Amino acid sequence: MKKGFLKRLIAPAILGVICLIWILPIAYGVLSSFKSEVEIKDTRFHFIPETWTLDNYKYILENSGNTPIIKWFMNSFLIAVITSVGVALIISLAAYGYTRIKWEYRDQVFYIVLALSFFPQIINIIPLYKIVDTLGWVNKMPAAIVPALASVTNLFLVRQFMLGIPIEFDEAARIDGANDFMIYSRVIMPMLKPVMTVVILFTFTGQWNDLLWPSIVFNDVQKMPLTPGLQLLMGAYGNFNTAPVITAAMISIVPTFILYLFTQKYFLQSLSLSSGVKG
Amino acid sequence: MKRKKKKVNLTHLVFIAPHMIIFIVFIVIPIFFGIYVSFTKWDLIGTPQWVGLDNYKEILFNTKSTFNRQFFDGLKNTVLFVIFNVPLCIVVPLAFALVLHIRPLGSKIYQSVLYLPTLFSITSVGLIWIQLLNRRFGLASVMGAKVQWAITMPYAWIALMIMTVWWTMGSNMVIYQAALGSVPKEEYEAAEMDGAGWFTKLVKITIPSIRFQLLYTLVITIAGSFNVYGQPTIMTRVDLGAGPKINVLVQYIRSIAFGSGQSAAGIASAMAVILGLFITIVSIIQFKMIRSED
Amino acid sequence: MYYDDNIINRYKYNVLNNEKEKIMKKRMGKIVSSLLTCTMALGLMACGSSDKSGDTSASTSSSGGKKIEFWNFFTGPDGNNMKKLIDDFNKTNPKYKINNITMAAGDMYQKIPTVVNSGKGVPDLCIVDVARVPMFQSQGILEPMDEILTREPEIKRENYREAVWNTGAIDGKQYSVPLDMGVTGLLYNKKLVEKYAPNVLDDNVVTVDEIMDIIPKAKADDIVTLPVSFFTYEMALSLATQKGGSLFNEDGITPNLNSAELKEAYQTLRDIQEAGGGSEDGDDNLQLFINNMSIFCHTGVWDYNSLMQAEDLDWGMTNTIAYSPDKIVNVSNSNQFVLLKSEARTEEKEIVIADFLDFIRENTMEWARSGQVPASNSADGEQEFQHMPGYFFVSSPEEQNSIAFRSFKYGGIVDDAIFASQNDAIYGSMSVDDFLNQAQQQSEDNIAQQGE
Repeated sequence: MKKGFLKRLIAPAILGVICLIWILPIAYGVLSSFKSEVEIKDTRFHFIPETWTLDNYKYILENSGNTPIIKWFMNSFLIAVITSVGVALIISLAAYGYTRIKWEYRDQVFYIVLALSFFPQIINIIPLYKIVDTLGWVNKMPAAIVPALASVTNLFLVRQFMLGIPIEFDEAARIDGANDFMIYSRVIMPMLKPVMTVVILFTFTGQWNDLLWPSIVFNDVQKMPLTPGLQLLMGAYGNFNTAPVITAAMISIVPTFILYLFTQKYFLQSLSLSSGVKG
Repeated sequence: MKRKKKKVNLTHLVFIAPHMIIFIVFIVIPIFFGIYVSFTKWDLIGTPQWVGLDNYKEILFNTKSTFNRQFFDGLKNTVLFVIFNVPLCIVVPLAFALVLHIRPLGSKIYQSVLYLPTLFSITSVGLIWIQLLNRRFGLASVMGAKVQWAITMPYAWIALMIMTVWWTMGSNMVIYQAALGSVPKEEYEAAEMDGAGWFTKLVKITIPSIRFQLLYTLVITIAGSFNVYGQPTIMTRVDLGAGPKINVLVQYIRSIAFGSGQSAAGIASAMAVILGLFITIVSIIQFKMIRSED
Repeated sequence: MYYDDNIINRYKYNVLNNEKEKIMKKRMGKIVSSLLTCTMALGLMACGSSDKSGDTSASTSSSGGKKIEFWNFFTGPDGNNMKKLIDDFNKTNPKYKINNITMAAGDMYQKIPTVVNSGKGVPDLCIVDVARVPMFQSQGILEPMDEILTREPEIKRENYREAVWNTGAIDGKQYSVPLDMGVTGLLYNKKLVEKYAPNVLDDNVVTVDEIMDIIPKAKADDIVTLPVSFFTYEMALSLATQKGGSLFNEDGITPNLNSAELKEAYQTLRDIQEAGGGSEDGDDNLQLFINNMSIFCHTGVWDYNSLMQAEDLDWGMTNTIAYSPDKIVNVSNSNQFVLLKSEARTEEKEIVIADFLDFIRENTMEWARSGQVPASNSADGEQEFQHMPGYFFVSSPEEQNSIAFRSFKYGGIVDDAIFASQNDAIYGSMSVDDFLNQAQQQSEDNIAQQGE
């Protein structure tokens, strides 16, 4: 009874209030996207628009030769999807190698990799651009995709989850004659569905929102993904048109939000360990 | 015996090779390039000129130097940011994850709302918060703010923390949610039969069961906080006014490397290297203290 | 706890009973592997095609045909004016069409060292701010404009404003062709001037003393006189130049930021602020002016379009404030065309670029519509231009002579040093002396980093 009470009334009430406050800035953003420029700049504070307008949306969604917004969406989508799948594969393989197989210096190598990934990556763009250019990838998708496949944070994350899977599963499978690759694909990976979903979610979102690198690497208006494209459309900050910029931001989160809703249930799933099997 | 050893060696390579190759080409090489640059004077255009440890000496020891001033001011603010931010970004998402885990009514909606800010890019977040914080016509005016929060101590720190937690806690929350799902129910049932209350369950079962993920969030949040750049940049915009600004180290590094004038890439790289070493040492301490690698 | 056989049974149970999952995994596997193959194929194709063409500069872009890559940062309303010019030029069917690539200035200045370092992807033509021209030239990444000038002899000093043309002349060669002059001056609200300072504009300039007189009256009504935190730098430079000061010594290399003139200039601005004439910390100053809450506002001609959009605003533009009407200085930016060193820029391309620059020169009225004062004088006779506020600054030789540019080798370093704490000095959280001393130190340290 007590738990039910908590579940039904107290927790939702507290959470509800928190969420209302939580969503305020976003609500402000959404409402602002329906305001006219003049209203946003007004010295008095407006929360709800006095006059609702769709001008901002029209302005952004206007697909033209110089601002091919549909193409940008497609480019971003492709890059994000390919990277997500690539990361899921490469990272899980590597995590297996760093946890399930014993080899000399295994942990030291991992820690060195982790430590190196913490270095501030600021001057990086200069040699990185040169490398990407040597490979002939400037203005092409691999430039945005491949460097992101080295994601060490995701590697660390998957490794941590893998460490939580008892080794007995491996041993049981080995008794059945499975080799490493089969253990990886049939025993470990199914158990990692929650974290792999998280990895895909994070990678997709990260690629979708990445601004600096794509704007350096893509010059061609047709080839660039959404973020630098919107920069082009928006211009610098300051006195020019705040409304379209906020509107662009609102539009940008739609795909990532849909992805989140879609994947919600997967990372909340319990491991098959405790899925109600009577032992 | 020899044949067995050979077989094991090759297998692990197959697994880690794809990642390792990409990592070396796209991350390690640029980092080593950056380390090399830190021992030179370079304007990003001409050829770097070797100066040995001069940059490091200037940054660390020359108290009259601008770079010394910027480095220590930046480091101070960065460390403060880490100290304030990390506990918040570990505890708050954990609290939410735990509450959501018991599936209260409407939990799906709540967790979506809580996660939503994370989906925004930093530029979008900045835009919205600048508007809100503006004393004259932002939300702050409606709430009766007497000073410009963004540039007055200590309000500036408070605003920065609120914005950061609001924006970033979703990721850690999702990880905790995934982790909590993998704690076997049997353990809870067994503990309940022994008469354990919710606090005991939390401390004795839940936390240890997710210790791997806790370590992850701790390490990554700390490293990320040291590398923070976006939020302080938003809060220190010149048009927000004068007054003490929170300038973190990475901001200084960027302005030195990519300013309006000639780049002092050598100095910037040296600062970056020092920061990197700093983070590494802190991480080592964390790992040693937690010792979760059984 | 897990050492019991139940676990092994559970494992087997899962493996046997998750047939569905297996099929899904197989499908996923197929999708994944085909995606991987696609990616690899893309990558290989990318490598392959770039090897074949050999010219990996961005000039053969997706829409085919020959293009000239033109980088600029006209992302605001002036972007429309440039676009029109480019479209009109392309309609004349040149051998190469101009490809308009706009980006934020900060992005562009970060991209330039990146592409210059790798040698590929360098734009054929680029707009940079005049302040950067000496720096780029000293770094050796600019090509002289000789070919262009020979090809189009009308592109010469006489057809442009002399002062701005000269900013591109370094070591006897011309390294840039100016597009415009972004002059900064004083906006005035006609109604408020009538009310608080009726005759102040008779001599076409508002002096510092006149400002100080106005302040008490305006302040009583909560009206801002002159927001000093907007384009402060330009105002301070103007005041300092009026008294003979300069950012650098005679050699143009040694910074001189803690000079008496500059200190006095910033002190003057601070005095205006402290007397109550300025806006409050953090205000949007242009908005204040547009909303009739500020008598004056110092800004650049490029705000023309924003101001024209304002309803209920009767405004004009005049010279920057001065100590005395005898010496007027209007600090100005300037957008300039430069040729970044690039192997991909063939002679044929240079010919088209020359034609394009001459086209701009002749049709500069279109650019004048953006609000900037065109560097070419081809539009000076046109009525339309004469009615624009920017025309004021070229309406007489005295006016033209008042325009000052910042064009120093280490100008950028000094700019950054000043901006670091400029506002603090204005609003009193730092003394003017400390501010300029710190800026001087920062400039010296950064310049020292530049080696020989």
